Amino acid sequence: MSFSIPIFAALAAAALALLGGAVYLIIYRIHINRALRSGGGKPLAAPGRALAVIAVIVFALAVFVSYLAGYKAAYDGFEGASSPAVEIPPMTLRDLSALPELFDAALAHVRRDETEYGSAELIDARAELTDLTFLRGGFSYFSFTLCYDSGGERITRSVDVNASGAVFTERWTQEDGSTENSVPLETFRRLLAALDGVDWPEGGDVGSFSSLFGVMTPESGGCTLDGTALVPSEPSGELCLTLDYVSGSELIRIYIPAE
Amino acid sequence: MKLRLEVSGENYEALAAELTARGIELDEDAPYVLTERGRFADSLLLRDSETNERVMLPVAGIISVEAFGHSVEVRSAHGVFLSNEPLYRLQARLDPEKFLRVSNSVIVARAAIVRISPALSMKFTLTLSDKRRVDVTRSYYYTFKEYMGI
Repeated sequence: MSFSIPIFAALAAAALALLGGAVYLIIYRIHINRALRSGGGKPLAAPGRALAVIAVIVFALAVFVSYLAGYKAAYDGFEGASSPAVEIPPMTLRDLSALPELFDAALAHVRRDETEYGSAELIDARAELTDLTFLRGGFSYFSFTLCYDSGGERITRSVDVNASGAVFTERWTQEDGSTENSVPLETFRRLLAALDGVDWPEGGDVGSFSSLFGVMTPESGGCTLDGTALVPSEPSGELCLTLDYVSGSELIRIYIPAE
Repeated sequence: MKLRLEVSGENYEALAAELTARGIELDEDAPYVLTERGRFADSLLLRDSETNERVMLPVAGIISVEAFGHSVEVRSAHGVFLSNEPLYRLQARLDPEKFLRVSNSVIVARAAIVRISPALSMKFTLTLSDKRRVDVTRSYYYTFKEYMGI
């Protein structure tokens, strides 16, 4: 059984107040008996009144200490949340080979966090690439959305990893947590691995991958995920999820066969 | 008419003669008391609780005076004595420097208090020289504190 800080502080304050009252009672008893023998002395406050004053002081201190402790705990939590949580492997727009590794590291972070809710197992997990951004060719931001079953509920969780490795996640439950453009984790990994095999043009300082809403049929001029590689797309009637790479005026559309 | 005369020794004889000459009978059980201003009793006329004999008990030997309904017990190192007077009247005859009311039914002699035990609930428990314990009740708490200088 564990106590929260405020409950522990309240119990400790109550114990301290009682201890203080008991000590005062002993001191008072010695004082009045000395006064009895000597025929009088300097009056002291009645024990009941002293206990009330001690209790008020101790509880005020407990509230203050609890506030500081809570503040520190919250600040430590904030620092922990914003401090580097994953190791960012060397990665540029030219070399995206470490992207699956980064994804796995972020996923491991999610699993650790999910254990607080009961189980680290992400059942029927799917993912959607929300944002993968490079600034002047260097990694800047990786963001994806997961949806999975956990504890009998469909969970949706956004995961954002910044350039320093800090991971920010937000978790919520909803009736249908499947995002429109999500794919199974295995397909998502293949997509990330496949991004490494393409010479992405840099039309500006920022190069960014982001998914589009809804399904489309492939057209020429883009890429299609085929196994573990991206191949030039050809017009077809197959329904695909889509991802756009945009850098300045450069645009490459990536088609992922819907599953 | 009967009077009880409570005056100092040097005035007693003269006053007694004066009163007797005026036809006033002096009696220890008289309903009226003639006394001097600021004078307190040196002794009390009481009955022995066992033999029922009338005794003059020196006030200096009293430990406590306690009322039980209509009877009043005066305890001293020599035993327990009974008084026909109500507690408030006995209190008036005792020197307030030496005797203190600690509850509605108890008067104690300051010199007989051996130990004082305080409590958190505005109460003192006094241990008297005859080992008995009496409580200073809430109504007399601050009077007692002031009286004892505690």
